[in-house]
Amino acid sequence: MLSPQRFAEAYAQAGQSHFDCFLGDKVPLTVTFQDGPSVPVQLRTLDLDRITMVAVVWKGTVNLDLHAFEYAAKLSDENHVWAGAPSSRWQAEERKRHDGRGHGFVSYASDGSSEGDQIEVYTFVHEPNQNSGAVTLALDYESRSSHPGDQDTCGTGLYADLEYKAFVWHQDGKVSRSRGAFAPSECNRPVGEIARYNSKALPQLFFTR
Amino acid sequence: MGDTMPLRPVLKFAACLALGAAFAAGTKPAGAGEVTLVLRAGGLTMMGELLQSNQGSYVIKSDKFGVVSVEAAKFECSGPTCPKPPASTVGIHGSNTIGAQLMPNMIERFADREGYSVEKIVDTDPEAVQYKLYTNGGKAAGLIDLQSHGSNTAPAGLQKGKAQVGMMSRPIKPEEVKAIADSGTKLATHVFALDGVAVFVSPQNPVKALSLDEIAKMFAGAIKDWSEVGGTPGKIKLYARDAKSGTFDTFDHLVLKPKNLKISAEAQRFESSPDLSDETARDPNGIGFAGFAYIRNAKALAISSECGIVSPPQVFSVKTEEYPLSRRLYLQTSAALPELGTKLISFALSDSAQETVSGSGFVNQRIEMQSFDQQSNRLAPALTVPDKEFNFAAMRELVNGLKNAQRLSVTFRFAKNSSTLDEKARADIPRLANFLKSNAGKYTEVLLAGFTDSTGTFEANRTTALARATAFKGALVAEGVPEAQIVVKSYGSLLPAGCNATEAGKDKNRRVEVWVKE
Repeated sequence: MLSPQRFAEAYAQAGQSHFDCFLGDKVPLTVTFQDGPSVPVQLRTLDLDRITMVAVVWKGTVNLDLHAFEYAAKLSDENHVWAGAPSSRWQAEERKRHDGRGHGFVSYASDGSSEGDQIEVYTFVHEPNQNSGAVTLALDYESRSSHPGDQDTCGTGLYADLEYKAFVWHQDGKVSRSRGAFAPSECNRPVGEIARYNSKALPQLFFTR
Repeated sequence: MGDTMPLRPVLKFAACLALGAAFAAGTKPAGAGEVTLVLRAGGLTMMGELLQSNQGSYVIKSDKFGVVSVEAAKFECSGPTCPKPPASTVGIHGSNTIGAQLMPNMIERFADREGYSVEKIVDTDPEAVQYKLYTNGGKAAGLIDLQSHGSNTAPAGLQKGKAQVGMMSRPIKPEEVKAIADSGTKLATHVFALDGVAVFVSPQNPVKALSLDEIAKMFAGAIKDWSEVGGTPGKIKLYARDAKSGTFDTFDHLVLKPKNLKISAEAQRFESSPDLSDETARDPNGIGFAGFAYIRNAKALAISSECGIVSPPQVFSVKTEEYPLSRRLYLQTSAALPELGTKLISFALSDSAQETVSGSGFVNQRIEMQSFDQQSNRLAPALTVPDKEFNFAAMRELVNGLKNAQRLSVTFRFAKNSSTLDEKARADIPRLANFLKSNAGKYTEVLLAGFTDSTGTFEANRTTALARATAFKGALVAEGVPEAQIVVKSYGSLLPAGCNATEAGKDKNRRVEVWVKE
């Protein structure tokens, strides 16, 4: 059994709350509220053979951002999916209904402000008969890119050569794992857009009809 | 200065020396036997005598700072007493077509197969990645330095010894071979994969096919508006690979130069094939080109030719090399390749790696088959050739001979006026022989169908085609294929694969096709 997870989630006016859970297949879920009551929750799960998930995990009080540029999206496009533009499974399904192509959403349990494990996950919901296409996945060392003079993340700082792990859950249920690290960078050196959103850090997603 | 920042202990002293960098930099160069240590992240340079070095640290005696121990991984060492990189460092430089996707996948697949764990180091240079390989016990097994700045950077890397493998999406030039040989490096050339240069547009563009002539004129700026080629009116925006690119060289060689045209100065140039493709896909008026694997979100166009042959970008037509812009992807390996690199390249060229090739969006060299019906789109152009290139009785013989057979994707080509197989053909013979032997008993006949270009008379061409197919039969028998199984046919200039109006088309037509009957 998983240890209890604690989080704060705002209710909608009607008292409803929607959130995504990564608990695997058919796991019973009990939600216990801070003031005591517990309720069992019926999970509606995505069929795992309809999704590909890419997770990035790292340690430390620094922030990485996983960016998914779906179908040649640019930074300001709707199909640029990342933690800074909140998304959900329902929004991904809605976009799929709109253009007949698979789309995804980002979930995260970190923003780099606390110690310990940090994680961001991109979940892509496939559309079986869609046209061919590609999703570019990029990893931004946001703490360094936004603050190039931050001594922790540049030069010989503690997080200058930050390591991360990437996991991919494929549609066929296979999981692939990789490790990576950011090369140290000179302090106060601005990072250009191409270098910042580094697509070499993560595997890419391709769909062929 | 001080210890207010959480610096790793081994580098605390280096940080305290930061002020000294301002004095160290710009002073007299290192003397003989001295080394220079430069902090990779910048801001510190030390010169002095290297007292000790191992995998973890350098100990340097410097006039300015005395005896200092620093973490080796953080510093670049230059000088005669610097330790040589580990023997298992492999530099793989060159083609972005190969390096952006295929080689990274190949490295990871190789590592997985060999039981290595891999750490990928990403840098601010988006086309440079290092792979550190570790054994199961955590011991360093090697380093692969992958730099994908374009095919034209491969010969220089090999010449300077920075690379032991050159990735190239075009053939290496004789002058490049000479320059590398003059530097004392011996090279071996390997065909790594097959590919086609796809010409593509945005999915919003209604155009589905263009001729090579139209494509050439568009990229030269002579055709400026989509309305001139039957599209929706709009100024054509050009996207092309940069001058370091083998993809650009291939496009220039096959599309622009035959028309004596040059790329327009208005074309937006890219080092990265994925970036070029995505930019084209976003632009309803854009047109670009890159390898098949980089069609991504764009729409690939069929290529039509003046003699009526229409070639959509398809795996089979790339394998037969009949797609007009098909090409071979090469790995050039130097004799200085360390054992790790030898194992990697050996794997990359093996049958086991072919799934990785196709999984990366490229065309592998495994043999595929098509029925005569699937090849029937070749018949119409074949019937409209000039009279001197056609013979009705021979055509009827061809149809009767092949209609119940299946064509194999492997096709053997010849130099002009020659029955000598080219280098790919020589490598394909054992591949074909293994295919036939592994299907022993399945095929009653292996038909070797010889063809030529249209130079000369029809009967003379039939004789030449027969000589080629017969020579090829001998090569197959030498590889253990039963002679009784092989039937040789000669069809001369029938059924052209390319337009005989161009040298590139003629090259495609001088061939032996392999068909099998069950």
